[in-house]
Amino acid sequence: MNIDRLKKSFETKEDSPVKMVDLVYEKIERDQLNDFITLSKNIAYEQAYLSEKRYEKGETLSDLDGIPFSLKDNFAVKGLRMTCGSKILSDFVSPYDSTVYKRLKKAGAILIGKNNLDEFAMGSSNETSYFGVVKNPCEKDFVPGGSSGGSAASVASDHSSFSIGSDTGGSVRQPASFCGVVGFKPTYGKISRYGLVAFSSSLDTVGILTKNVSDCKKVFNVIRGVDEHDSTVDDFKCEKRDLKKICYVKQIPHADPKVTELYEQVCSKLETMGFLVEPVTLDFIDLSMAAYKIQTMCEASSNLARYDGIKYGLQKVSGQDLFDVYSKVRGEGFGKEVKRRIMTGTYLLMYENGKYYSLSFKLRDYISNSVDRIFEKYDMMVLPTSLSLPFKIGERVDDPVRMHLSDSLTAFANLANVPAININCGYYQKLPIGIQFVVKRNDDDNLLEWAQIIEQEIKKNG
Amino acid sequence: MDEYIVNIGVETHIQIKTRSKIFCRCSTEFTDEPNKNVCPVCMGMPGVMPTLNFDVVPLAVKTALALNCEINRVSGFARKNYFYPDLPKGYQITQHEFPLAVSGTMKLKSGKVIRIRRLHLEEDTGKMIHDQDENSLLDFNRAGVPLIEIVTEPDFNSEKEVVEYLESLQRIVRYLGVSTANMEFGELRGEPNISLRRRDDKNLGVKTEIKNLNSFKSIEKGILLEIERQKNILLKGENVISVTMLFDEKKQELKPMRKKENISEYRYFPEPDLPDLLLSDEFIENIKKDMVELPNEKFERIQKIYCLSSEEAEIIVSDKDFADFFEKSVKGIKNVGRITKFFIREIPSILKEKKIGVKNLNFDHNHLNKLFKMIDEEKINLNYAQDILKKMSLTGEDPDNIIKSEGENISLSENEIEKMVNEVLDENQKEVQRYKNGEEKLFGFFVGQCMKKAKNRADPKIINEILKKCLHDRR
Repeated sequence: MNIDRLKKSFETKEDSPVKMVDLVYEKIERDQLNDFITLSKNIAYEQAYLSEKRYEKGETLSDLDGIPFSLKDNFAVKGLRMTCGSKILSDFVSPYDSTVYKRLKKAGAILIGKNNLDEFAMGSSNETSYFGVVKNPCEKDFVPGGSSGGSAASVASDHSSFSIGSDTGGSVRQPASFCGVVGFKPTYGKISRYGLVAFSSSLDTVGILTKNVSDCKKVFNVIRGVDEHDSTVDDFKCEKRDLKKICYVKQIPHADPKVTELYEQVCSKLETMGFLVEPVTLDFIDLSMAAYKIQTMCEASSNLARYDGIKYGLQKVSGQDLFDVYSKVRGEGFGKEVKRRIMTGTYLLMYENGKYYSLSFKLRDYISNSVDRIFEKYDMMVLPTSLSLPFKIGERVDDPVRMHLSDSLTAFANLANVPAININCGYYQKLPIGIQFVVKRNDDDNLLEWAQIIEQEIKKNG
Repeated sequence: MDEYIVNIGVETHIQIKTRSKIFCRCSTEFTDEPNKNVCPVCMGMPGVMPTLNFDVVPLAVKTALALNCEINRVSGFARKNYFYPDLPKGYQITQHEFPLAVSGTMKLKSGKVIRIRRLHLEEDTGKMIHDQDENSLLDFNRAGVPLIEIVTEPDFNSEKEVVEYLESLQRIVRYLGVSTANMEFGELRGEPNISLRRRDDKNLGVKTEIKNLNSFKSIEKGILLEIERQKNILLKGENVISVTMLFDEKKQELKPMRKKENISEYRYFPEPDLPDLLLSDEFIENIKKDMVELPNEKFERIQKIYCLSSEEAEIIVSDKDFADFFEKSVKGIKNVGRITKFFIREIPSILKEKKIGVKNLNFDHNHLNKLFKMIDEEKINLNYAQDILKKMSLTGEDPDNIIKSEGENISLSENEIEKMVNEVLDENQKEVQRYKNGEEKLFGFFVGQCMKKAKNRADPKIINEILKKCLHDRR
């Protein structure tokens, strides 16, 4: 369901937005991946009819007119349920629209539904969702990755042409890698977060999942840019450049050999494409995991404080006192992983007046500076997106330490506020393997240009 | 005589008068309808983000300048985390490490200087109300209303000083147009923290805080009660524990509310959703240029140029509009001293009776100025002027018109008075007869009748003399 092709088929009347919506819902029903928490059929058909009329009149609104898409279920759409994959918000209906949704709606895109995700985007396998695990469309016993697992699965299985996810430490790129699609995390502050439920506000970015890089560009250009509701967004763009120098990492500890093998192949391909490809060492990967964990847990403990059952969400009317009511609501409403992170974060913020939180900012500065230094020399960095191949559902549920390692090659990009994109570069049997391309801050447009060139080269050779 | 020294510091929250809330666009207008001025942002819905309403900044800077603070060119917002139903997000957005302004001062009348530690911006919380059925009800109209918090050092040594400070602060923010600062509506909330120490002890004692003080009277009472309570504890040789005391206005007593949170329990950290607040020198200079005359400056100037007593000047500068009204009304008046009392008694009593401010009076400063000129030129006496003022306040008529409409001259000549007196005596012949027969106390009655007829256009002294003469003539 490539955007260009779909649009052309609408223009030539070979296909129509309404027919396409029919087909999409049929396929979602047939595939049973559990990639959606809520289907927005009323909205979808209404938008499809309107789009169809626009195509008849030849008055389409944008490149995305009539294109089916989905939103990770932590983005607000007025009148639709927004669960964040949690019991505590399982009946919550949003009273307002997120900026991203508003812009897509204005562009004529059609909302198919809200994608399943790890609870409050905390997880790497979509197994922490209150609404159950999502099946990997490539191999149904396997996880789709996370936390934007539903998003990646829906794009991979043509349930939507693109999905909007959120990436705090790899939550768009890693599932994109596991499901074999494109997953783009822009520079922090390129896309408004208004209406994205906060996990870790200083690291959260809105990400895009598509079938190919060209589609990703189109979506990015519709949703990017300053927003009166989010004062951390800017319009800064950097000058167009040619890609020349690329760096890679020679040895990646803990990496699956199948991943390493493909990674090396991609690096040699880049060399044959005429780029200068040189090795670098990254000394900040372990530090980045520490900084990432402290920051996300501390911020999450505060961001999730509002779910107290008083104003909305899961409610408990009986309790000995206020504290008891809070404990019941939060005790029942949040899952294990979320509670683990809230408690750790609360402790870290209290311990010696938040010493570790302050320290994590120092680490972050160090990582940022290290990354900056690399990009003084190189235009782009190539890395595997994930250390491992998709794993089996249930395999790592009781191993939080190993699960947390899933973010180790992606989180540094969030900490350093640099853009990164995952592209599928091959398979091991049926399981996709993704490679990540990272560039310097604000170089988003160049990254997308360069990624497109590389993607075409990789596809050409199969 | 007292072996303890009292140290008091004050935290004051003042609601800033902007049209919309500090982090969203909801109205700040007061309304009786609960949860009317709310939106997803101030309700703390999932996914919302705050954006700073920049209108609050110049108002806060003005206040900081009036308190001689240093304005930080870079300040930042932080989250103060705690759970309470009236706090929609589970944290309050405030300024912690990097406040808007620091190191200010305020001089009390005694000349003593109170040090101001910091002034920062924050959002107000909602309100929790308990109804008669023991339900707890929440109203978020107030949630997100902009506040400035002003924190002093523990420099006060008595409740009187605290009240003076708060009254000054109230006057300043009103002058600056920053806030209406009515304590009974919670627009200005003073929270004193109090500690006692032995005269020979250099270190401050354990402090307690008092909340729910909704008037200057309550502040005074609350502090006195707490000093007494702490003194009793210390005299028994026990230790004061750090608590927040709640003042019960009805019972006029203090109740402990909760153990005070340790600062780390608030888990402060920088608000990631708001960029730092950067202020340029130019921005601050422009605000300085626009500053109005502050109450203490006005006090000194007015007292000097109009030769007022300090009590008079104090009353006149108590309200900026009132002071402006005074100055406009006495323009060109030579003997201001003679008419000052109008601003001390008559006009305030009209305002009080009607519960209005000078801007809502029936007459303006031009009318008043006319009236004062007549007094100045001795065309009318003060009694008559009071009468005219009363009429002006009722009808809003020009003083000239009031005098004209009564169809008579301003002052009666002696001949006219004599004529009038004779008229009165003719109309009351029976009483004249009784007077002649020795009922001398009737003299007062004649004076009254004459005064009524003269409508203040004659000096009572002259009436007295002429009446005596006329009665004598009739013997």
